[in-house]
Amino acid sequence: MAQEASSSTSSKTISLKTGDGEIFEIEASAAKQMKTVQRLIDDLGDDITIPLHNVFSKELPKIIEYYKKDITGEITKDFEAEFVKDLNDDEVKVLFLAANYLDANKLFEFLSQNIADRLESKSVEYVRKYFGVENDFTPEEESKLREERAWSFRGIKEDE
Amino acid sequence: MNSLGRILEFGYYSILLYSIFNSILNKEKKKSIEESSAAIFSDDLMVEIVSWLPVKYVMQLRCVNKFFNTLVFDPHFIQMHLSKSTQNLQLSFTSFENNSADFTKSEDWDSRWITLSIPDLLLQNTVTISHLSDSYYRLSRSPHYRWVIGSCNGLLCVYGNSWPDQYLYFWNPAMRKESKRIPLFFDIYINRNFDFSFGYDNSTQTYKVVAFYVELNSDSNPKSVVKVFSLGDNSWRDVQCLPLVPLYCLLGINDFHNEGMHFNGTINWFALDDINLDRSAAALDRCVILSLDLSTETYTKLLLPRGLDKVPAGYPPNLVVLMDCLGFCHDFDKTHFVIWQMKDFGVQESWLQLFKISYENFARENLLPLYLSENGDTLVLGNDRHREAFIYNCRDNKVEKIKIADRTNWELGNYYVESLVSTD
Repeated sequence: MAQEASSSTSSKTISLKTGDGEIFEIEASAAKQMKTVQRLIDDLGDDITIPLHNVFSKELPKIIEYYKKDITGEITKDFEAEFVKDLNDDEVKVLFLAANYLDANKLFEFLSQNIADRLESKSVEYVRKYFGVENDFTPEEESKLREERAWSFRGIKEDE
Repeated sequence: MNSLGRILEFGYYSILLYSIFNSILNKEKKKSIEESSAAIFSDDLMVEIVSWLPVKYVMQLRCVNKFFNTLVFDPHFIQMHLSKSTQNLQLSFTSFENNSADFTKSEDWDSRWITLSIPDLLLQNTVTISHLSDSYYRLSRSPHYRWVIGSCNGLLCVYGNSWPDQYLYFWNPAMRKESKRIPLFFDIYINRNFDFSFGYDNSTQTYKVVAFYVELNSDSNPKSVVKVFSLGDNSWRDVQCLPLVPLYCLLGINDFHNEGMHFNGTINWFALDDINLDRSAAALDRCVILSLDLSTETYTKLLLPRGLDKVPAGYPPNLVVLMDCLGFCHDFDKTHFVIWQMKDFGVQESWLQLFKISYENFARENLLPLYLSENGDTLVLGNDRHREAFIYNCRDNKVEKIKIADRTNWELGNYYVESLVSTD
């Protein structure tokens, strides 16, 4: 997305305050990509420190790093791969939820795909825990379903 | 500013902030701010993630709980999943393998439905073929004969023949679901000039299969019987007869590449505009595209580009869908291969000659364009008679041959994407 910086926001930085009280600076053009932040700026002005109650100092810098690259048009597949390489599944989850809260569309979409990729190789039990959902099937129901869909659980190796 | 003023100002801003915040929260249904923990997903967020998964994994996750089990039937989710799945465009083929010593008997050929990933081919230069060894995807195995008529949004329509029954059915191979058999209203061995086409009617959101046969009598005008079956119906419906006879019927070609081409809610065939013309001598300037609108179930005749008087119709052109436009390809003088594109459907002035490629790089005729990249730079072509495929780079006029399959013969199909579209 090409960013058209208006003269009033071209070199402006916005202060963001995390839920645990730390303050971070981002460029106004990067803030524009996070719709929640931009709405707060529109309502409160860009001189005030924008409070983000549900984003914390662990994840905000990473998000800022992503959008720093985005405004210079440098986001590539390699950058994205590198970006999540050292994150475990729970760290990505936190980042994803933060991106959702911030309405940061591009990061949200990228992380959705990344989480989907990670879940491909995981068991049904893992996914339940990860999503925080309860199994509301009886044991009989579940084993019947698994039997019906046995083919989807098999790892079929394809020859060329 | 005195301290009282500051306190009041702070108080004012806090209240303002709080109320703005609250209204933002209430407006955004897609966000879920859990007071207790940030690590819990709302339904919407889980659905967003799962919509990126290949169908096989979505099916696995149906065992997670009841919500996930029934999610695959939710029309909104099916649409969401489909729109993401279209990024993984595939080409579908039928692969044939002969299991006996006698190569001439068609009954001894097994066939199987396979797919080739286009992103893998173009972006990673790898040939990724799926289902080549999976027996579930087998089509024909003597004495049962089957072929794929068409593919639309992840749903396939299949013709089946288990003597004496001839039927059609719908198949979602990714979900491994098949519909019940729909008996055919004629016998393809008796009425040999027939066609089956499969498409989607946007206006009623229905998948439809069109079947017809033509009786060509030398003494009278051709007669056609045309019927449509809509997914969800119980029987075939009569529609208007063909106003023109499709070209390939007249030429006596029983080549699957000349069947009706589905494009954006229409089915299209080449046809001569006058049945009384000498079909072997006619040129393309006497042809039109006969187009059946799946929503109105009526026909229109689309004009071809001007200036095709030197191109013989007897060496039939093929309709193709490239870059979301209907087009066709034809041979020129046996030296070049030409591809046309109709930029605006139905508008004769919008025909554009996309390519005129010399055969010298291919040393082969009977090419069929399979896919054109969005930027128009890379063209994938195939020739199934010789089991070859090529990647043609338009910028530097370079051709790269791709090896598809070793032992088997294959027949080109159409585009395919995985989906959760139901078979009933």
